[in-house]
Amino acid sequence: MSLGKSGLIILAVVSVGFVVLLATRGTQSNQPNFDLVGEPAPLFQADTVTGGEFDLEDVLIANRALIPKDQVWVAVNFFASWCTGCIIEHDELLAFHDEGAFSSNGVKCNTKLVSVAFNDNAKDIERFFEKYGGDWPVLLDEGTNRVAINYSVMTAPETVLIAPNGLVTKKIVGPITYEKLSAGIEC
Amino acid sequence: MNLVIGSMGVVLTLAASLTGSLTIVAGLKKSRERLRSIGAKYAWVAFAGMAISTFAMQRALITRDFSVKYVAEQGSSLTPPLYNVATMWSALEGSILLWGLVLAGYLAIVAKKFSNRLSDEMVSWALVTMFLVTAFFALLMLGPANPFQSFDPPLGYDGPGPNPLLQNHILVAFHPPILYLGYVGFTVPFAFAIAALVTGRLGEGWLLITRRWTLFSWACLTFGIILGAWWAYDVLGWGGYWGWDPVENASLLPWLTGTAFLHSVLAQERRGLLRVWNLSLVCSTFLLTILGTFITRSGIIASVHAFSEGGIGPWLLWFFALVLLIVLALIFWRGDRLRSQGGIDSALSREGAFLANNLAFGAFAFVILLGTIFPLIVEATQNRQISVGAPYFEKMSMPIGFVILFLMAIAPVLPWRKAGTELLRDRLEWPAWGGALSLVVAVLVGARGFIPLLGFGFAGFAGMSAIRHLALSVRRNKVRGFVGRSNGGMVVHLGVVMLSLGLIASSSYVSQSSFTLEPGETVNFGGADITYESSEQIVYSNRIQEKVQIRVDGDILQPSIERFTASGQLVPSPTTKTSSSKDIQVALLDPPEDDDQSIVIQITEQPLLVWIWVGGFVMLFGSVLSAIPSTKRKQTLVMPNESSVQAEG
Repeated sequence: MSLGKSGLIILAVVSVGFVVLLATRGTQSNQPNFDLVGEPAPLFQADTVTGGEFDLEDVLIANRALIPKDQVWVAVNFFASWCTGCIIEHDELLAFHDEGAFSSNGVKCNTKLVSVAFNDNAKDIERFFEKYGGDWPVLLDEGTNRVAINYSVMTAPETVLIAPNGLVTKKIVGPITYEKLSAGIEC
Repeated sequence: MNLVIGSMGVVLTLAASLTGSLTIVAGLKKSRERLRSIGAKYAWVAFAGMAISTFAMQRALITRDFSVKYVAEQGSSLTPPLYNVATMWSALEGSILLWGLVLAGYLAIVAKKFSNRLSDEMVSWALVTMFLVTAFFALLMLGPANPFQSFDPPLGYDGPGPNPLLQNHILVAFHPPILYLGYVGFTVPFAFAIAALVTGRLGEGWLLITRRWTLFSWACLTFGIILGAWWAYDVLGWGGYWGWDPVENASLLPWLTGTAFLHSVLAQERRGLLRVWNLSLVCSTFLLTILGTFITRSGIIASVHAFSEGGIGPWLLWFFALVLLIVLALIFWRGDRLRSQGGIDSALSREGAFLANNLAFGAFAFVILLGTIFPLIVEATQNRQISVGAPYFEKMSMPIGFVILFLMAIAPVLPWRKAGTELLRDRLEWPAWGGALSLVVAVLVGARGFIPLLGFGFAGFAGMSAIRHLALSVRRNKVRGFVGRSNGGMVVHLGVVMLSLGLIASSSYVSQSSFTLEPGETVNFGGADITYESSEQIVYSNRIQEKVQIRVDGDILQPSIERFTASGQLVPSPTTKTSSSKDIQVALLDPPEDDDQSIVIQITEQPLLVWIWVGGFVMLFGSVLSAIPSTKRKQTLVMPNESSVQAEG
């Protein structure tokens, strides 16, 4: 058999392998849903930069056992170290994390802030938090952007507020302010 | 009504494509030319079908016929007219319809152009191939990507309109159709390559026939990609124009193999070299357009820009596998006839440079394909999810880009067969001075850093090589010295040099900062005075625009944030002050609550960025010049004659 023909056979085998690889990978539904508000928040679980783990479902399940006053509101902030809008809003996030949010009757509500890295890597994220402060969980979602896709996030920053019952109550595209984020939180 | 008309159009295209291909095959089997001629006429019926479907879709979009599901999901009574037309390609089903329309258009033009040459088996087989590809796309429109599904709209229903990002820039109307003209156009050389394999006439005939078709498709793909980058730059607001996203990579892959083909084809035409390679490149280019569509539409790769829609993935994959199998089988079958007549005598020759060029483009395509599918390989073998980000692509593509720039300088001065060192020294004198000059100028204007300076040097080297070629050609042939394949090609090279300068400078020396400004406040950024003057709110039919006036060195820029009424989504609309030396882009990050409140803006300054777009236009212009014959006598297409075939066998 000539060199050319054996080359072709090798190419054919590689091609078959390639097609099999593509055919056996699971496909994911990526249909964007920009009208997330009012719908159940897509659940997610991911590793944090510091080696921990965050599972939204755990928070929501724990909420069921609590009286409304103690239930937790979750703010999910999609950010990136390369995004200027994220630097701008960072002080507001610090305020939200440190001060929490208050109900219209003046009661302080339980809130939890989680950041999800968007198109970013662990090293840059650590540097970002060293520089600007903040010690809330930061999820890597590295490369897959799976969480971002589920929340139909197109670019950073975007922030989603999830009520204790698991419904999305707010989605803010672009930099947030403390007021915008905390308004409407009731407990 | 629109549903019925649209669906009938698709069925008509499918029926015409299948009948056309079967009739031609019957004509080939029975050696009856009349049957082939009748078969070819079905190309017009297939095109008519797609035209009817497109008409129905546009009519449905314009009249807001929400009984068409696609219009109900993508259309809206609030969408302005231009974007309403462009809504046809804002989601999967409509994009496939556009693909079908362009493909059937190419099919009809090929049938017309070669109507008097149907006695040639190669033309007949090429038409059969094109008919079958068209039939596949018509099938998609009856199966997983049906643009004419029905919907029962409740009373007073209004659709959400296309994604807001697809509604705030004029290029949305042009980028996809031009890109599709490029993608789909490669079906023509592919069809002739298949025909050459089937008929066994593997000489240079099929290359000569498809030369201009390939050039046209390549020019459209090039321009389409650049328009896409321009659109991203104008819309996104952080100075970015290329993100190595799977969707972008999918458009780059066929461009790379197509570019390699445009060069290596010369080595075959001139010296009968690289036959298998050229066939493989044309087939790869076609296959990569299908693979790219699969990658971006199947949801197999998670990407924020690759939203999967429906069950089209498996269809595309099996079509890809089938075409790949047929191509490999045909090459295997014709292996003996594909041997090149000679070899490359010396690496220091034009054909040697083309081979190196092809290796560089091939490596480039491999690197990008690997980076794009690597996460899938890791997931399959190690069951964990990883990502391949921009750093990988940048690190890998930069050295290859430099090699290509270097070859662009060397190849045009090399003669065929063999070059003596003295000749080379003589001919490379100008280009070398060009490279040195470019380096000195770059240092004098303050450019620093080894890699960008190396890039500027190579760009100057390549640029002067192209100028030298054109200058010599114009001296001999006056204005006609600009036209013809090699002269036009050198104009394309000049465009590539401009684009490279823009890429290197804008990515190496980008500076970005954000400011909170009170009304009337001025800040200085990179030597430019930036003042926040005033703000206004404008209410449109589909959105509310918060616009601010920013004075940048005397010129007023008006960046805005737009809130789309239907989705509530906020979309920033940055504005850019462009000059030949630098772009200053201002994006509004936080609009004022009241007239006297502060705003937050982000300013991005990138030197020479405009040269990316100028380079794109020059590449397009050069492609047009390439298509004009360089000699006054009318060129006739040379069909491969049987004696050469026998000589090959």
